[in-house]
Amino acid sequence: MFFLLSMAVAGDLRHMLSQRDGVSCRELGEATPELRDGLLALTGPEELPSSVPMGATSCLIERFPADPLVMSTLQGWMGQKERAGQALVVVSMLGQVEASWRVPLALGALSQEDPAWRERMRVRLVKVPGLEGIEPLLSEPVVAAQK
Amino acid sequence: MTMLLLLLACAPENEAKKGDSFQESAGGDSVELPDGSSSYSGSSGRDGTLQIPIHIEKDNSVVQVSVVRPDGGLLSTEYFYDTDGTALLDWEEWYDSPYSLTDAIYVYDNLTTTNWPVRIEDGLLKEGDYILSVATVNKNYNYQGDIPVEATIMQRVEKDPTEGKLKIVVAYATGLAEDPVVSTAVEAGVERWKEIYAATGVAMEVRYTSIDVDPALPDSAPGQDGYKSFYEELTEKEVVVVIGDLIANDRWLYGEAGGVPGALVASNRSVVGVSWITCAGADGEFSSGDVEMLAETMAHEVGHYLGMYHPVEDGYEYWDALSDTVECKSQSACEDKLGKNLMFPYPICETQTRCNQQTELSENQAGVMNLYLGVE
Repeated sequence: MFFLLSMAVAGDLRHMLSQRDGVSCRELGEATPELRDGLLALTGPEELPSSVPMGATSCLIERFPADPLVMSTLQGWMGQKERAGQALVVVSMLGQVEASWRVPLALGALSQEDPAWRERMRVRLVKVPGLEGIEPLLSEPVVAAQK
Repeated sequence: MTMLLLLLACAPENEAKKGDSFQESAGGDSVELPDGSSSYSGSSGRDGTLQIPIHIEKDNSVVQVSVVRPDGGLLSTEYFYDTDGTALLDWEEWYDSPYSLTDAIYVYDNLTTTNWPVRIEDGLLKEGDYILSVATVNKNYNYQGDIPVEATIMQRVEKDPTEGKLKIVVAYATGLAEDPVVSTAVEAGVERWKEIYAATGVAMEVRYTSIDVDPALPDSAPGQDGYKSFYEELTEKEVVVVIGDLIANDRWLYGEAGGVPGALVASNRSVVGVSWITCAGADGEFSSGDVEMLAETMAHEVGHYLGMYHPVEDGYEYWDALSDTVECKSQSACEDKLGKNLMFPYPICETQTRCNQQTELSENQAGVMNLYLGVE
């Protein structure tokens, strides 16, 4: 029953997140566990159109910035090649995440295998406040450090 | 285009009577500018309206007027009168209508842009004296009198509303021009976009540059100061497409236009913003389908900037004002009849497989594009 409910929620959310000109995360409804689970169900990298997994990721950050399930799920993706785009979204919105999750998420982004992606993450992380302790990882360009 | 539609209340702040505006407006000053456009400076009358005189020169037939409140306050366009005083545009006719013609009639900020004609059926302008009536309002949307405004009036010849040339400047947010994943995809997307527009008779001339703004772009409306200063440096009538990581943080967007129509003058929202990472998707790499999505996104959002609306809005109760885009009333009917249209509000995809191309435009949609002042 819960699965069917989540499928129905995900179907509506998919349509809303498909809009070419966007939807406000606030328009998706109350920040309930049902919304959270519906959004998590749409974060698969195979989802189309591409705004669905990307928008779901964005709205999870905005609406559930301190939710342990959401944050641990994101942390699990951050270094995955097939999630590099989503990881960049997380990095771009890291300032909205509850402070204790910022460093673990940043370190996940910096663990991307491809140096070009690590560099993309680094230049964006430099601007994020509250990343105490990992400044040395952000101070040098990744590609240059490879030479 | 997802601007918030703000209600314009009819209660004047100073009890002035709506409709007496011709006599009540203060005089203004018109100046011819070297680039062929003209400027007008004046103040709204006690009733909060101002009639801006517009002389259409011999042979010219398309005009765009952008009116700004230097004090940052609010304004909108109410009427556009032809040479015999007939209202070609009447805000009350469109304000509560289920059909959308122009955002000029809505109060957004300190800029209102009217491009006329909007549609082929509106008819080309002819030599003579026209009047654009604008309203200055306060934050409660009551009329506000004695407010200085400045207008830029541009006009051009329209010999054939089925063809024209559009100048685009693609501006990469800081650091993105040097990222080959982004620049290669954008350039491929632009080539595809040229093909989409060519089918409507619009030829594109595109140049690439960079803009010193954070790749996490703000909402295109209200935009940001960096957009205005960038536009001030332009020497031609170009539409600016800014490529960023993402746009705004409270909405998830492929892209966003700074107006319907957008202005060809410097302002904080004289841009179209496009999110490359949304088009690239979860893996951040561009497949051929992702490049197609990027191309269609740029074409769709610039389509808004040129004056086009979605043929139907999601919800299926609002439509554009064009007679040759079907007035469908359900998701299935709209996807069936309009799902291949470039301006359809959302991509239609076979989940986890592929998205269908959305590149078609009707004759009247092509007319809107070609009648935009910047499509010469």
